[in-house]
Amino acid sequence: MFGRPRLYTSYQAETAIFPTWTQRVALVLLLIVAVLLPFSLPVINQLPIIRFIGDPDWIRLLTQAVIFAIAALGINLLSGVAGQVSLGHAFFMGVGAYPAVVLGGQSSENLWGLGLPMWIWLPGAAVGAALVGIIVSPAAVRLRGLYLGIVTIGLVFIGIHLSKVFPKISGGAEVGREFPPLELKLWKESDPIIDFSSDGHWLWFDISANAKTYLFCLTLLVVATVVAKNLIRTRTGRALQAIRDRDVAAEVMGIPEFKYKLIAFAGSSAFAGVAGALFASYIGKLPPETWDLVLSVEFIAILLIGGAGTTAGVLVGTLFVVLSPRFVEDISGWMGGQADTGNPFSKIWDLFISTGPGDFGFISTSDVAPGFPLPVNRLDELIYGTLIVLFLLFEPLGLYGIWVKVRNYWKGWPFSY
Amino acid sequence: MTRSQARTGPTRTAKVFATLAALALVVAACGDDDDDAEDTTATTAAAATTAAPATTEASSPATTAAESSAAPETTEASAPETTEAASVAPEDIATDIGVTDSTITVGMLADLSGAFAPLVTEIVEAQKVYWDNVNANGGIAGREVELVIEDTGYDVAVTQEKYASLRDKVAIFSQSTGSPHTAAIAPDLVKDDLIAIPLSWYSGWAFGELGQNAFESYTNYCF
Repeated sequence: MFGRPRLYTSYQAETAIFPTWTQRVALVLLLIVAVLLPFSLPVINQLPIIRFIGDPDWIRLLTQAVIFAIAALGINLLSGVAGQVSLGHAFFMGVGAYPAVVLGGQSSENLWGLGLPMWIWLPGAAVGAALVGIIVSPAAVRLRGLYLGIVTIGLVFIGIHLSKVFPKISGGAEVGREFPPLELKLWKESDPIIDFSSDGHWLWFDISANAKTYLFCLTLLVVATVVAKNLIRTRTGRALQAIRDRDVAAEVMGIPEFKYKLIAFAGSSAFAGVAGALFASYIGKLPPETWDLVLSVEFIAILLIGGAGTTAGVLVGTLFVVLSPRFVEDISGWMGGQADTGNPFSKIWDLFISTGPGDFGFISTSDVAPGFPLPVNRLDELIYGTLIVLFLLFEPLGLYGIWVKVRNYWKGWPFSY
Repeated sequence: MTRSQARTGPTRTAKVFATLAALALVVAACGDDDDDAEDTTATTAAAATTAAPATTEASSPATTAAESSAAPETTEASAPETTEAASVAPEDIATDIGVTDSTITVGMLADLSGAFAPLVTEIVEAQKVYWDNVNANGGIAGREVELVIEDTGYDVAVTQEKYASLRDKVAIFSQSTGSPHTAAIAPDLVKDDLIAIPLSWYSGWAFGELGQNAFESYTNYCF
């Protein structure tokens, strides 16, 4: 922004986590907007996209996006930085949720639970998931690419099977159990210090339960992002990138493959475990079938769409994948509304939108649309599948790659070379 | 202040029983075809008629559609008036969330995408036809029924999210697709004094707390 931002005058300045002023300012602004989002403040409400994201309806979806972002940082570490193809991310999330519920949940005649507070069960989820990641990691030393991917698919199904073998932990197939609620307590007392399920009053303003939960998850995301970003910058991160590029060559250069693959799996599973425990507690009651292959594929989509190997890319990818179904519904509804008004563009919208069996259109806003017009609810599946294919073909670096190209174009403008 | 402290008048539950009693008479006039649509709605009405006599004793029902002995009594009326509600004029009924002077909002948690979409979209259409018929015959207690349909995609987390967004807007859920999904919202239904008719024939609806606010349609898999 000012002068020559990439002119570094010390080694420390060059290796800093946010080396340029632009990055620091952008980060601070982003954090301010993210923290103030649920409060409907006058200036923030006017920003174009933020305006309706701050709605109470969207806050719950945004909290879910934040929780998934923590898990996405995990898969970024494993598949993006270390290059180990893994379709088992949902398994690692589940494997974090179940120690959390055994430590934190209520016990009954059919279920195990110790009722411990969140500062025990949340790290417990990370530790439990990391241990399982350590057990699974030797497979990655023997197998690579497609074959490792297939083994990790198997993990997802093993997880679902185990949930049927241990109904005392999982609550039983298709039924599930209540996960420990999100609340900050010292020990098993009945009055939590902070209760995230009821509206409250902090300092001088009122805050809703959804906003409290969102801010709590955002705090955890910020901590996780700092850990993930720093990990990539350290010796471990460089070793993982070397393994991604060519693991045999890395071993020849003196990077022990077994140790670093173990670190990759353990670290990724820890992130996934925390996210899985948070997600389960946030939703409240989940059957074990939630941790299925479709969820794993969603994370692969996040990784590919956002940009494998980059922290910022993966965060943007998560927001994109989690929020876009709702966006698509809202935009289709808006287009349908525009088609009804008499303004000059309404014929274009009317062409796109079909409101019922008699009306021609590509996208149908009615609830039932058999045949040609795409129902709005299924459109997002189509979009996200198409995007995965398009990104793989044309932009393997994902949205982050697109951002880098745009930024470089404008940096060099009007000189094109 | 909890929501129940802010309410005055008859609870949402009692008001809904009166609503369903009115429905029962309208549906009885529709005849009994073999269609999935009519069966679903007819047994809904049968469940409601067994609920209606229970209203006068103010007991909380766990009804199944098996006792349809009350149904023949309702066939004499073809207009939407009920013997129980006849003593209360529409404008005198106390109303709560989901009911205004001119509309009653009925929610549906339906699978419009996902594994069961082909089946459930047909069921949604059938319910729409039914409610259009109710509206064409004058509505319920002088009010028009408005449907709010949310797509849950056979996903438990999404069902809970959609429930959380609809709980303050509807008077009743006339469809809640999926056994684990409805089981996940069953405790919230009791807490919020809402009723759902699950599109599920899980045997657990007949028992105690889980089935307390779930009105079954058809017998379940175990009986």
